[in-house]
Amino acid sequence: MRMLACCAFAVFLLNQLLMPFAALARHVRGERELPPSASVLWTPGAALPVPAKALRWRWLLAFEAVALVSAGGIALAATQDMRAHDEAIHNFPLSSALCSATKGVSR
Amino acid sequence: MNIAALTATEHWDSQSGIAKGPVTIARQRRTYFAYALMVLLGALPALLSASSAWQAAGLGLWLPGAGFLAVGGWASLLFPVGMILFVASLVAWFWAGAVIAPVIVWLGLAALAGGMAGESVWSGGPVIAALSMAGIGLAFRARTQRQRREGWARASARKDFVPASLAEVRVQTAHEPDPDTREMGPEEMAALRYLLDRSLQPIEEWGGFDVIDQFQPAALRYQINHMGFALGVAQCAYLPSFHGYLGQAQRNLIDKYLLPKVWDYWVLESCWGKLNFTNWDPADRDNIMLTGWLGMHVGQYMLNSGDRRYLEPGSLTFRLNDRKAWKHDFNTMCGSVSSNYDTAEFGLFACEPNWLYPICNHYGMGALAVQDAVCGTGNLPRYLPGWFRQTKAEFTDESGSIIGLRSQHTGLPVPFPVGEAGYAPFQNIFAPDSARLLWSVARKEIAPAIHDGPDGKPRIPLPGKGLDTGNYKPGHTTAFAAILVGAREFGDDRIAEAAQNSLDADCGRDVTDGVRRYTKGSNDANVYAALGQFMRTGDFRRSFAIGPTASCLTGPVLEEASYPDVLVARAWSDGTGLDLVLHPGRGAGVQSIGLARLTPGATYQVTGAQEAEFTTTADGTAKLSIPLSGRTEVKIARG
Repeated sequence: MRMLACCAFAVFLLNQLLMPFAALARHVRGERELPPSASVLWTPGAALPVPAKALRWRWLLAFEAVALVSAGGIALAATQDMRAHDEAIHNFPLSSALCSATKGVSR
Repeated sequence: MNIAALTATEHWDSQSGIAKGPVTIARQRRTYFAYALMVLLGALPALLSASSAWQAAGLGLWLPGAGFLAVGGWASLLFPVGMILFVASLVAWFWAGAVIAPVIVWLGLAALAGGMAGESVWSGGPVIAALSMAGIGLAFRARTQRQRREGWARASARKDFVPASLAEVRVQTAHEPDPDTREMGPEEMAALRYLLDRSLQPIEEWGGFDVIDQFQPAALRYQINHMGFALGVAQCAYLPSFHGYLGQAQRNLIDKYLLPKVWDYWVLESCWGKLNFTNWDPADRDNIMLTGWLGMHVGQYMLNSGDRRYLEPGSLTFRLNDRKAWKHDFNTMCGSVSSNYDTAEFGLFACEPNWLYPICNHYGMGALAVQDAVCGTGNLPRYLPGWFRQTKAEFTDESGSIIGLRSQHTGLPVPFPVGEAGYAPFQNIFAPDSARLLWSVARKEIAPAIHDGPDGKPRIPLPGKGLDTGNYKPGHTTAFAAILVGAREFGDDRIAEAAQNSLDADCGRDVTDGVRRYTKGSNDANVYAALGQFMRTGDFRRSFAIGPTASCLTGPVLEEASYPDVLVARAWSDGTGLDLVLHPGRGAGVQSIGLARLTPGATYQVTGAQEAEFTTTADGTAKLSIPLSGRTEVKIARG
């Protein structure tokens, strides 16, 4: 239960972390001329075009991947730095009971 | 104090001090006291030489993520990350009423820092945390003082120009269009078709709507309500004696609103904003963004059509699933608004848990006004004086403008882009005098932005890329449409012309198959532009507070016509006869129409139909064949 709560918190934090990136992506894409609004072009009997939405999700996924890799890199760097000191090993940041689940350490 | 009873000069004279009401002051003091307590609590572990874990967690109470400073080393870099996360959690709080988000993030980060702490804490941590606290505090203080100075300067300028501007607005609004002679032109009909196409599709289909999120301004509920408002204005102003597909379209929108997809956001907001996991009744506590808006919408339909079906118990039932449903009707919807006002400390009550939006409270008071008009309830004398007194005390800034948003729990204001031009048409429903005061400010502050375009016509070249609140994309369609609505309501023809020209020139105007749209705007912005297209002086107020001419509510009506084959530009009754102006929507031909509410067994003379005379059936109905090849007047009179 404790592990589950930690995971949920981590996912929540990750989502929060990604929000500015998604906003940035929208901002960057917004610099280009916007396509006409698909909903406004709708006429009775017509289906809404899908590709624009798919494109948006690809952008989000790409940013998510970049953010995950960045977060992993920082975590790795932190790990190496902390392991360099003997006295820090047993205080390794992510090895506490609180967050063992995110690190994958079984205690 | 009733702002409606103040002269313009008195209103801005009262803005010479710091704008904070007693409830705001008390709530802000409570917030600052709670923060001071957290700082004290956070310092205790260090003062008591507790373990490093407790010291790091304690420092985390000073600022979100500050505990990582106590951990030291690489972990210190998590402090700014924590601050960013906290800001993001505030966004979640604002966006969807997730009150628990900032609490979880702040306390979660403190706990995480405690878990990461080593044998000892970094001694520089508390120093950096304290300096950060001071820096943030000073930055906010400087910003507040700057805003106050700007507000006082703006109030001073307003005090100078408002008396003359208000006199002009009073003259403009004194001339309202004659309800007996109104007829839609081609542009109005093309705008109406945009709304009818969307409203007449099957209830569970969402073609032509922006489906993004159900929390903030792009939510379906706002698109539906605004469509209802626009159709209601069209009915009241031009088509009071047309039921048929115009009535069906309005009822379809109300049925759409009752689908869980539209309102089940309240289940989530009740859980994460109120920790209420059992009672998700959307018309109980708070949620004025539903009760106020839908109350206005349903009431407006009943007022202009004479249809009273939504007074029946259970006529507005919110069914979540087979087991849970909340039965409401128009009166319980408005009853939720009034009972929330009865207990509202700030005088206004919340949309999302914790967030007080004066604009949504204008819709709430609009709902009470339309309830008065439909049911004779007498809400306005009871609620309006207190509502104005509290709005003036708790929600008015140094410039005399209404504060856009305030946190109920903390008492802190948050920037939210609604100005005088946005409030004025809504306030005109229930307080025309003070609404004119608002518009007298808006028009003078909009006027300097008006310049002639390359074609010599006036336009409003707004700065920047703008924001379309209906789809969160750049664009000025919403802003132009909102200015158009305000200008039309108060008879400001030059500003209305400039806003309309700007819409047409800058927002991708397109007319295809007789349907007008602005392709660079969202659906909601298009709906608002259609509303502005229909409106003339006082139309918005009349459609919510007065309704159509009485003869139209008792006389004959056009009950059946095929859409889009028969387009109706005018439908008006003197109580015994019926005047129609019809257009073909899909090519020339003979079209059948059905009339109702005629005198049973009576003979009528007709012009404009294949029949020159007809006798009604025992239920007071009749059918006519109309040759349509262009604008066609049909007149029906007792023989």
